[in-house]
Amino acid sequence: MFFVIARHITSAVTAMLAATVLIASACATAPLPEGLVLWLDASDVNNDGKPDAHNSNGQPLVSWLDKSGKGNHFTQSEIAQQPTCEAGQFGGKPAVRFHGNDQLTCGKIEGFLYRDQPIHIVLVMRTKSGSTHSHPRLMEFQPVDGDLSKPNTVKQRGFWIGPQGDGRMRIGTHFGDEGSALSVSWDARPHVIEIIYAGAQNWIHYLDGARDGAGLLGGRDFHGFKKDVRLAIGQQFDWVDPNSYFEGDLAEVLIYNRMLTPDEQNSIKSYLAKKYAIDLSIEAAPNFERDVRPILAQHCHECHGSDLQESGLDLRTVTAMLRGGDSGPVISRGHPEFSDLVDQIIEGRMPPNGADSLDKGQLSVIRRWIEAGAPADEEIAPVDLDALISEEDRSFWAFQKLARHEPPKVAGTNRVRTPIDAFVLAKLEPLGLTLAPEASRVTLLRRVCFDLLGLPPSPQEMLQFLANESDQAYEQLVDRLLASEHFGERWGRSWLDWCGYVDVFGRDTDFLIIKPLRGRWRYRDYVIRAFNHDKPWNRFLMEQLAGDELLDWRNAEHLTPEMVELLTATGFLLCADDDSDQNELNTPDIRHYVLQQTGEIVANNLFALTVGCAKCHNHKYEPIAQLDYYRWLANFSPVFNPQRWVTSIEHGMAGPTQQEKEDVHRHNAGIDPQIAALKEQQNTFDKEEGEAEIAGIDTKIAALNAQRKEYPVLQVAVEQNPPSPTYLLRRGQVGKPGVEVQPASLTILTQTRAADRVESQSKLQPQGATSGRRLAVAKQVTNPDSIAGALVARVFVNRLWQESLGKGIVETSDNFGISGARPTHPELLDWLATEFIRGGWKVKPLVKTIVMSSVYRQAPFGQDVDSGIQGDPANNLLWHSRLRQLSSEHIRDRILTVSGQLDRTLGGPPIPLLARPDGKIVINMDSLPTSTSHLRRSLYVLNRRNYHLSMLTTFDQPFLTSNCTCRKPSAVVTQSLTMMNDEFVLEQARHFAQRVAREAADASSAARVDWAFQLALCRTPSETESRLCVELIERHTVRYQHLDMNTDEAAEKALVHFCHTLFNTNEFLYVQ
Amino acid sequence: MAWIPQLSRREMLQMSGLGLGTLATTYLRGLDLAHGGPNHAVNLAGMNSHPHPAQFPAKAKSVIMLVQNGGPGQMDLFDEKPMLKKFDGTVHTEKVEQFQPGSESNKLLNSPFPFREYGQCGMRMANILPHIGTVADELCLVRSMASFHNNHTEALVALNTGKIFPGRPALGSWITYALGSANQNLPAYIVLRDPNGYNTSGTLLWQNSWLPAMFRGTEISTSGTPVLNLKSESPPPPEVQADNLRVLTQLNRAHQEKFPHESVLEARIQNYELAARMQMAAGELLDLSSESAATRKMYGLDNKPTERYGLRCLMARRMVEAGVRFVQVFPDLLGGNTQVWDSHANVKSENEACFAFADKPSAALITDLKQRGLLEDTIVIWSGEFGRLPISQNGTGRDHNRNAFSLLLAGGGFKSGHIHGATDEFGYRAVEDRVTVNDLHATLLHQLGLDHNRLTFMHHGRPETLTDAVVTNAHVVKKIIA
Repeated sequence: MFFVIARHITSAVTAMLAATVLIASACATAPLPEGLVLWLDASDVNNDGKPDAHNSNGQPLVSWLDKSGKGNHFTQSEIAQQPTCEAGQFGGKPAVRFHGNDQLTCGKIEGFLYRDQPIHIVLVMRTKSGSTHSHPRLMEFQPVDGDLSKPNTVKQRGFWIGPQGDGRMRIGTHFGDEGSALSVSWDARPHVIEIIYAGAQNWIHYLDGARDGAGLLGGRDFHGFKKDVRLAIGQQFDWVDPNSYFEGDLAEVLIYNRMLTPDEQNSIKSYLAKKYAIDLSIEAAPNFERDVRPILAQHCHECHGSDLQESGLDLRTVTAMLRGGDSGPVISRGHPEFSDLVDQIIEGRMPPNGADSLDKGQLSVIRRWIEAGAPADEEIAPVDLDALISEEDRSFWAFQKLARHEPPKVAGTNRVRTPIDAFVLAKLEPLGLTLAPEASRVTLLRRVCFDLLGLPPSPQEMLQFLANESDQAYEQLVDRLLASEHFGERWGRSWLDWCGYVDVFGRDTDFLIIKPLRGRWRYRDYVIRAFNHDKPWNRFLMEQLAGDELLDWRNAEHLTPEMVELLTATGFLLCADDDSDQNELNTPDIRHYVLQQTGEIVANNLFALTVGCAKCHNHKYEPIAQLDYYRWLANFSPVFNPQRWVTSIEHGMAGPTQQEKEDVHRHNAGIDPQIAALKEQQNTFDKEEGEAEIAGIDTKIAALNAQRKEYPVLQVAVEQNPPSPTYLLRRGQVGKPGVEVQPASLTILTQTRAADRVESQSKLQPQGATSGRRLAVAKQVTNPDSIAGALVARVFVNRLWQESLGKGIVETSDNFGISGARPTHPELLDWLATEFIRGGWKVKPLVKTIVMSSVYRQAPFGQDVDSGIQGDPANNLLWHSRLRQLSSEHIRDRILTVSGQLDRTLGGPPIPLLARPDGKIVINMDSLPTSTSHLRRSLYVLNRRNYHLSMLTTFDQPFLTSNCTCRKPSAVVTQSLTMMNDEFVLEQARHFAQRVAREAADASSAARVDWAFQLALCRTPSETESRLCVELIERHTVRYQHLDMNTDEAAEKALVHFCHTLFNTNEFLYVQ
Repeated sequence: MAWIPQLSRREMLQMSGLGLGTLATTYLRGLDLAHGGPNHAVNLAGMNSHPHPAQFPAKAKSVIMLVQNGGPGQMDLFDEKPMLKKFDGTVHTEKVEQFQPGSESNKLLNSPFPFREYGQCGMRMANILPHIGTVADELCLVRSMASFHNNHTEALVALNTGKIFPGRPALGSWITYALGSANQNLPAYIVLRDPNGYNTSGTLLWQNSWLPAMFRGTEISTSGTPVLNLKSESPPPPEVQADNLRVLTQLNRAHQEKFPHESVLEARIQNYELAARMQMAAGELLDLSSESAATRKMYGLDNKPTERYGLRCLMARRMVEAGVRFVQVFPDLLGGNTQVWDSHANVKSENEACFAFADKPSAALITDLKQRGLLEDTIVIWSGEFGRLPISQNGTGRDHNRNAFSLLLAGGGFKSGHIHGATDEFGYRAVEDRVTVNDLHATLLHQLGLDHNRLTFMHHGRPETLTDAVVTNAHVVKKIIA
């Protein structure tokens, strides 16, 4: 066996020196860097470590043994297809000769290629003189059981790589298009060929040591190998076309499962050059100061130098080039093809106007310099994004650490129940305003019930509350509501909006096609539980961002309930629309889109920043560099890895705990023997004569199968593979990768001065095989002493405020940036945030503080409306409570509550929808989980992105193409039509009327009207209202009696109309 | 039920419209006070959708806005530039304002489409709009439009509201606020979009903002049921419904008194009344069975590429015919693309794809309005939010250009067979008789009999106008008025 000395030379600067040394020493021993998975050497085909001196010419080769140590040996048992050994071919060294139709195969390559792993192949070969067949295929990688139905080769210049859609890759030799008349054999000289697949669609080709081409494989033709790979040499697998073979000699084959560095590459080249006496181009990289800088000075520095930095770009130093200008960095070390500097020159864009352009030699110097890793004498500091951020940006209010402000002194101390009141009064009093008087107890009861539970109080609750005359009555009410399990439903629904939760996968652009994602609802229930149990919000965030990194679930035999909980929480990250389950949409641009959407939604939810603008260039309004955008994405790219993609439906995993496993097994154990017995019974029948019997038994088997249980599916966002590199995309284009970036948070949210930095107190470490990137984010954003933590807390408490008071302290609850609104009460916002954190990040106590305040408890209008309007017409400063339209779900839930039909069951799979041909989307009554599922709270109705239950759409259920931080209610005529004519509303009006008839104090119209008002509007009617409604009922009764109805029927119908009318009142749609 | 006298439609309207005439809230009083004085538009606008008189004799009554969002390229379609042909592929001597990357080479790009003369007037336009060409003699082609922003959302918001920042009322909202509607059975401001989804910026473009909510655009679907829940499955006798509605209005009025400043409550009250009337009229309006085969064919309803857009154009005509004040038609979403005119990659193929659906129906609408004698008091606007650059982007595409674009006007008292204004010789910038978006708005209002300086609404203590001429210097473009 060979003894291998691996060389590790990492510094790009020393690489040149090392290469020179290697050439000088001309060592003939193979330098074998790490990652070698296949090594075939014609000098030693039996791999005994000794040269095969005794090989005679023309001896058939049965096997060619791998010297890499991986055991990837090649064989051919068919005599007619065996290549031969030929001595003295390459500088006196032997070769393996393929005569046409010859082939060697390896059934499964070990330690080999997986998904989008880079590959580096080195070949010493020569084609037969005069070989003219059209498909000179030298190698084919193929999945072990691949689908070969769609051959589709991408042609490249010269030596070609033919990637195939289903994870195959072919390598061949030809000039011109494959299969064309131009496709002739190469020259009959020995060559050293390197073919590199660099990942992310990038290929690079070296001919005799010199870079001969690089580019991107077309579109969606190759995303890497999906499964185990087998490899054929000399001819394609399973192919009888006599033209599809390689004719010629192979002396040596080396394959690495990574891309070699330039110095490693040089060391191999020098070994081969020496061994085979082939003249190879092995040269030292250009030097920046000596070779590159003068070129740039001559052609570029006028606009990108000391005097001018157009587009923010300075080309004087390597550091400045790596930092780049407005459109990102301009060089990518090691990758000229990823470097905008090279692209701009090649495409003739720079220097502009065609003036003073670079000649080929100059361009070549720049390319080779970048290829070698852009070495420079200067010490290349990490890119300092902070330098792009001005002091003014840094001092913007949203990017400050939290400060605890003491409640201000105010005159109206009698109204100060909580510090909130002092902060609000302090803004009102200078305008001569004060808070409106306290709202009536009934108003308050309704308001707080809707705000805390999203449901109206029952008449009994109303009586109970009004009867309680103690000073603590309101607080007791609030405490009772906070303890209700409906609290989690109401607030969980808001959180689900903010993170863009839907129950379906894909973009949901087809009205008729509904694609529920199995088990997705478990995340929804997790959120509801978290709010109900008042899970500390920092922990809640931690679990959602990185729950999978907190425990080593991968090595667990069964998942523990805790693991299931943590894995379920990561469903938070699955909110981007992802259609990659469709093969034709499983393309690089869609993959990147999903990653980008995920990053943008999370940033918008947590930071209320519009990071999306920085996808293509530095953000025009906010201090967010393009590099920042991709660094942020790098936190999520191990989960949504465009190079190692997991499609939208592959995020599902069976997530059973031991208990669940046992339950499923026990359940199925009762059924499986019955199925087996039936099958046995079936076999006793003759296939033709017993057709009926067999069919009968099939039906029984199907019924039993339907009873079998499966493991529950969890939709999780976890890392599937080690992370791939994340690249900045130049101009946001998928086909234009730029520099590689490292995961980080946004620079503006990072305290760059070391002295100011406060490390997270959390000692949590990533568990199991995972990168810990998201855990690092989670630790940062939950660190209350950091800028990020401060912003995240502010954004969240602002939304709690928005939900309780109708408008955020920062009105643009989705945009805390420079282009967003400013807080009306900045000190109050910080006070709420610090109070939240002091209280252990608990939501319920903070909500309680808000609803206990005098500000919250104001009446809808003050005593002095005129001066209010004068001083603060839009009521931004809260001199009275705001009239708020109920959200779509709350309207539907209110109808169901009032009609007495609401099914209050918590959680579980979503209620299915049906898209009707008339354009209406209704609950699918044919597949209800239980007989009352259609009467459940609206948040349990299947959440689509674009096509909600029509009733909800009409009342402004948001389209969740991304996330939604603030519902925007409208008042359009279609809402009135819905309330007037929708069959759901009408049916509930009938139930409502029946309930009124059943429960009213007596059968008089007055008693019924009274009770109906109490149920629907939580108040008693005024005398006028009562009279109006009683008369309406009586008029209708008379009308229907005239239509030959008996008195009871007529009265019943009349009552329905009245009840329906109450649903239609404005009061029913608003909380005041 | 034969013995119950059926209510006539008129009686029904009287019942359901109860209260509209006597509306007098403190809100409206506030309006009066703020606008007091003989020259102000006192009582011009109101909190209802009844027709209001214009301020002076109007040329037009209604508007159909065919929004071509994405930004069609003026030099490719409407604004022939021989210099582009001459210098195609060469570096432009002027450094143009670029928005997105890809145009750095600053190389001129000629239109991929030859231009030809259309109509008696000999209007020169590209050869890929043969149908629009047939109505050239009806068109007023403005070649000197200018917008303010190079990004779609901002420019679209500007085209629809006059300013680039969201949060101001839409043009359609202002117009319906000012003039109400001649049809009390349909919303005054209707939006017709591709049933497959929203175009860029979506509902932002028909928002009422701080104008009362009733002046928001109402979307009406051209697929499935036009308006869901238009009728109940088992409608009650009309007098029952009318009675319900009357009581409902009384209950709502009592509730409204507590919230005199919430315009939304008034909008809702009116919506119920409108809804009741829509039941009677809308179904009829949206039922196309009365349209002749020739008409359907003219709009391209018989043809896959044009059927969806054609249907919306036809609906727009029917609505205007029925007295709807403002109809906005949005383009198709091709393959989910929400801004189909945005030809960054390939001017030729992207424009061809757009005209495949937009050419025939757009022309049919104008022809049809003309035939029916409706064109003279209907303004048709065919416009994107901005234009495109004379230089190439990504080889064969063009980037956004706020400095110039072309738009088409027809009917409504505008000159016909007329070309207004000009851009520089490369089509980059409007240089002659420049028309800003605000000028366009001022002119549109003028044609509707409204003075853009006098159509005001008090907001946050300031009498706001659509054009905000104090800031924008908007003026009526007299030269395009017949």
